[in-house]
Amino acid sequence: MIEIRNVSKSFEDSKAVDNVSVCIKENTVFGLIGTNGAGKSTVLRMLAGILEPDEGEIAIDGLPVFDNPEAKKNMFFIADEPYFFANANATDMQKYLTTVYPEFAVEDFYHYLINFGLDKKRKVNTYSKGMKKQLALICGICSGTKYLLCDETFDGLDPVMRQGIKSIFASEMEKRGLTPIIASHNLRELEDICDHVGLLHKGGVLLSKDLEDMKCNIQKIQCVFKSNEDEEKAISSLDIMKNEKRGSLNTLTVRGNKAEILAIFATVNTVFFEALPLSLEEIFISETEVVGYDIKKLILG
Amino acid sequence: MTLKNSFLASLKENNKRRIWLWIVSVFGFVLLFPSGILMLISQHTNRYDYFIESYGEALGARMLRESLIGEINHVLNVGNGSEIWLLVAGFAILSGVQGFSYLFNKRKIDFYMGMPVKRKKRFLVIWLNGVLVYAIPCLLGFIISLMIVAANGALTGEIMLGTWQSYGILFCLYLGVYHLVILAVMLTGNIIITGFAIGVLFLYECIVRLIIMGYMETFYKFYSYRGYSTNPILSPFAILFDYQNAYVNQKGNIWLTILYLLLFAAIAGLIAYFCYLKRPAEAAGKAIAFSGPKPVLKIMIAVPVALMAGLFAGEIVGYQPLYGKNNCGVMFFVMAVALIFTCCLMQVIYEFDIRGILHKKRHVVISAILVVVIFIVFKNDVFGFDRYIPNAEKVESAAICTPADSYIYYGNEFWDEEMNYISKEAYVEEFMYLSDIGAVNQLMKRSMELVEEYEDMNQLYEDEERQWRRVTVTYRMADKRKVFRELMVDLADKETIDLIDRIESSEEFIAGGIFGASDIPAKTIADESRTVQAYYGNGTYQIKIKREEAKELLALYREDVMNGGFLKYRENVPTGSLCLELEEKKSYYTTYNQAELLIYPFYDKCIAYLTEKGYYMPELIRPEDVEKIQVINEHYDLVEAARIQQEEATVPSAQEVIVKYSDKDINQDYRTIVDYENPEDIAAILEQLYSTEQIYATWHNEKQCDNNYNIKVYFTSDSGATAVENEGFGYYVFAQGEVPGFVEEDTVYVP
Repeated sequence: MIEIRNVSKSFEDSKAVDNVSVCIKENTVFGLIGTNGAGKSTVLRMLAGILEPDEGEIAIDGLPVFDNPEAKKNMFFIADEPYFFANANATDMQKYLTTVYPEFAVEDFYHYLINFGLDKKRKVNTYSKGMKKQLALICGICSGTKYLLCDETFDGLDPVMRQGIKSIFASEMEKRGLTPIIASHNLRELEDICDHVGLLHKGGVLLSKDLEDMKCNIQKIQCVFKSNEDEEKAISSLDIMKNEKRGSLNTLTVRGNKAEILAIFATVNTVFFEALPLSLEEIFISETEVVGYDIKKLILG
Repeated sequence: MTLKNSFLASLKENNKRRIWLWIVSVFGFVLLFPSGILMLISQHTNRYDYFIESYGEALGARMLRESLIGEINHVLNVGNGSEIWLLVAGFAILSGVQGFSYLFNKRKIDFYMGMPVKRKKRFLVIWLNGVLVYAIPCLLGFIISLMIVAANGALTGEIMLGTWQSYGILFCLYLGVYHLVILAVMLTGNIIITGFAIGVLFLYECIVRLIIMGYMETFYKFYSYRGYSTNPILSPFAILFDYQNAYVNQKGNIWLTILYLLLFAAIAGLIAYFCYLKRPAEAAGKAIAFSGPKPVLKIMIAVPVALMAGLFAGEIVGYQPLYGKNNCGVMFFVMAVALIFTCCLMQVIYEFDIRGILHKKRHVVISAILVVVIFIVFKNDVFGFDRYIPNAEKVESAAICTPADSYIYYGNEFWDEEMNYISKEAYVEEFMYLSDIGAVNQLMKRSMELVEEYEDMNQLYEDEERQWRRVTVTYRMADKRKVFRELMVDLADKETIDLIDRIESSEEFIAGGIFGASDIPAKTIADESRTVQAYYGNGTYQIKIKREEAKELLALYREDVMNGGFLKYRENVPTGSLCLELEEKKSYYTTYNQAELLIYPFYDKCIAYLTEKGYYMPELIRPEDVEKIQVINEHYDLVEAARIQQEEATVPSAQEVIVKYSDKDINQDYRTIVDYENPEDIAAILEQLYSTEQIYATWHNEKQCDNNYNIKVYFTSDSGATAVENEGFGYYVFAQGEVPGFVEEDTVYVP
């Protein structure tokens, strides 16, 4: 488990991370969402033990991470622009990483290279940007670490590749309890990968929740009430986050689990009723609106 | 994987990233350096025929070998001033920057610092590789060079020893420079700024010293350059140069040099390591790695730059407050411009933004205040440096260096027991231990009183009533410090000359200030391994004397000289001198030393000995040896008067000036020449003649040359005068106020 407790970090006069506390459980895919400058990279670099927090503590499986190889052995950091040695090829990188990570899975490495169509003898500096990200991900996955920190790594990967990575993650999570932590400024990039999402804004954590919990706790209902009395009764019984009405059609975003909500609707008369699936984006819009933020402006553009 | 294996694996991996550095090192040290040796040997062997033809087979071969050994020793032995240290220092800079430059790049920082490797280990791996990349190729280069030297029959024990000593010293030098460069890298976050930082670390102390010396010289009347040096203490190069200087004088202590260099390297390395541990990862790409010291650093650079600029500007505009030239407006303007420019430039560098020029103006103000304060401290002598006379109770001993008395060697006839020439200042500093500090202090106080009577030094020099001479005083303080003062003493002042006489009459002064009185010449001529030529002469005649006679004469000289004293010397002119010429063969070169010991009329024992041996020359010139005397009166007084008249003349236009200067007066030949062949005239002139050697000196001679007169004495061919071997005549002088009346009349200028 990764514990981030009251961590703050400033760069000269600007505060990049302000009193952040997040707990990242094992065997989940944690998404760190935020706009540019929200502090995602700073949090990840502190998690990787590259930056030392000004305040607060970061512990990986109970071990402080800064300049602590014991803690870092369980963690691999893929930067937004991954670095590879000058004139090195994939094999050179594997050889180096093998000296650093004793559990490095050499066979898997070459297996993945073939699967991803990367030439092990070709110089990395001739790779495309996407290929470099793939290689970095392969290196990270094969390093044998429990935690994989990915800074904007998925941005720009094509859907096939994303699906490929997703399945590798699933397999590694099952096999050895891999816990990927993925930072991105784009919510849609993480929607199909993450189990848990933390939203960073202006250096602080706006929210941190399990996606399933969020999905289970928020329902989207479209309905047409038979009478005004039915409408008033239902609305007064529900924890409504948002209500859009077009003519007689109500679109309600309601907090609560599906069964409870359906039970309430069973007590009123409706002409039309349908429970709709919620996208991650809609859940975030609803959650952040509650705390007074316009998520569309923040991360959806 | 064990820890040891993991470390070796890290070393190996790190080396893969530094292949090109290994290539440079191998190219420089293993290929280039031995190739240079090979070329040097080849160059020498090509001269074999020339040596054999010029010196014969045996001598030529020996000389060629000696010359070759000398050259090889110069290249392989850093003590001889070999320039290989430049190669070593250059490579240390390259290695230090290359090894740790990953700290400048955010991507590399993320990569390396994200790895499960302790920072200490990473430092050690890079550091050690940086050492090995130099040490191994350099060792190979030295071994190959020695093998080449041995194959050519020029390997001696001295070369072998010198080479390994050089390797040791150069290794320590490498470490010193390498660590200083690592420190520069740690303090900065950008390679260009690192370059500046390296420059600052290497030159800062030197520039500060230069500034202090420059301002002292500008404002202090009694400042002596001795005791002050621009050579920094905090520099591996300074330690190396000190060793080289000492080595030349055969005093170089290899172990002490290595110890100093190692100490320097250790301190620089520890500071660099500390900075490495404290350096934040976010420093990559910034100008300065640490935010805290930025303002201090800026001020520390801006202030010396402004003061230095002030010195340069003062030099250009002729700002010399001691000489009454107080035109400091331009100087202040330049200082202000330099200060503002440096502060702005550094702020721009800090921010990597030209708009930074307008930020942090308070730093400019603080720097300006500091510059003004420092300027005032020097100008008004706030700490009383110029008026400082050490408390006699706190002084262990003193030494006084007076102007040189020797004509022939211009005062450079001092050498130490190893026969290394040293300056008179250095000689008295080493050998003179005056205990009469009261007299020295009184002399200094009197000098200050007299100097203070003048508004500036120009007035002082122009006062014809005075006879100013420069004297350097060294105080050895009880706390082991040394205090140096340069005095202007007036030899026309009774109190002054009495004090000088008191000092010069002391045994301590004689032992440490008169070369012939010390043990050194006696010891050096007693050493039979040296060739000694000794002469007695008076400037006209010279007699070669035997070595044993020279020893005896020198022993008597040492007795006579104890009866000397300033007033006695002033009242007399030397009757002759004992000249010693020594030659000593070293392993592959020969040293030559010369000394001239003046013999005065009151040196009774010497004169008795010379008389007994038939060497004494009571007359400067025997009248019967003279064919003709030609007196040339240069009439410098008329030339000077004409110059002053022209300078003072008011002229309305530049054109008239040109006309006035070009048509007459200053270029006019006022010289008058008269020949004397009449024996009576010759005898009368000879009575007043002196050789230049006799009254050249300005310290012990009260009589001074009358520079208006040049007297050419033409000798008969059988006279035995040394001049006969040259052109048949010799030059002589009259003393001021002793020109025969008839000569004055004969040489009057008639327009």
